[in-house]
Amino acid sequence: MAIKELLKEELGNSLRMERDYRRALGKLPRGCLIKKIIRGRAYYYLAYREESRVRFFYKGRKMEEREIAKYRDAKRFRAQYRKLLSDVRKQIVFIRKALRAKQAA
Amino acid sequence: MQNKQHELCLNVLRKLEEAGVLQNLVLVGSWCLVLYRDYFRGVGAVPAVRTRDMDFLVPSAAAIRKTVDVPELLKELGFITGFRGTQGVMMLEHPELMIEFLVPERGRGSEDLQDLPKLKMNAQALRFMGIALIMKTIRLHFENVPVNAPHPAAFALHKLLIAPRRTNMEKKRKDLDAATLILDLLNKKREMQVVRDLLAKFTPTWKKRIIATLHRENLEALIELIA
Repeated sequence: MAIKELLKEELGNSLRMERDYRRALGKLPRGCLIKKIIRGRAYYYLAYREESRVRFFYKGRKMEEREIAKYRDAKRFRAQYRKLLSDVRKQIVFIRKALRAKQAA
Repeated sequence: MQNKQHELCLNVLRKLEEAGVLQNLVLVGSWCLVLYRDYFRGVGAVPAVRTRDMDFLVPSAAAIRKTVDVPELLKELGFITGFRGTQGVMMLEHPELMIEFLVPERGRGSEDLQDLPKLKMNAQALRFMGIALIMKTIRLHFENVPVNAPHPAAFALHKLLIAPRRTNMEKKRKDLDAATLILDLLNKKREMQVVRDLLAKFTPTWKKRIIATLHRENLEALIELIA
């Protein structure tokens, strides 16, 4: 019974974490910054998915280093958060299975 | 999973040390047991069981000189900021670790939550943290990172103080097991005088509570050693 309580607490923690990672992913700037070289000149585009299509939004020929860094960081954090979100979801599945097993026992 | 968790814990400590804030913090909770392994090397084994919670006690918020944005600092490691409970206790969350800051409760009726503007965090005020932990802290090493931790005597007495207040029986059992194990190791290391000195500074009510807990657990031998 006591272990069940601990597992329930851990499940609560993991569910909260899942919600928070989803929220953190939602807060990151949308899209991925792409630099296209056309006839030797650089042009920046923001690529993002809209339903099944990938759209390219033209950002201009020159972009501030700060904004480029913002999108670069967002890309890195998005990949990291997705991996961790996947880990949390695996934990949730594991704890739920363990809780069901305890109930069945 | 344990290795990943250990590695992450080490990275957290390294980041806090590099930022110059670790010396103002005391690592409390089950992660102390990892530090005590070195302390009791050659005396006895300390089990590796620890939870996802990694708690840091801030003995004095005013003593923190440097402003360090801890959530931003640990964002690099994949930590995100979450809030717990109706009061909104801040937590830094990662699937392997959940970091929380604690402050000692200053008298009854004080706020349950304290802002730590220098760390860009808030902290939960907990009872017994002050006397049981701050009075006696030591510096141990987690790999090569120097970390402040409660002296094992303070750790054990604190566990004996809070155990009767636990409503979760499993946690209560865990606290009592940890306390008796540490007291046993201190006895083997011939450091029971530290326990007695610390206990002498406790209020009579706290002393009574600790003795009563040991009585209930039929640990008369330990009572003789500490009383």
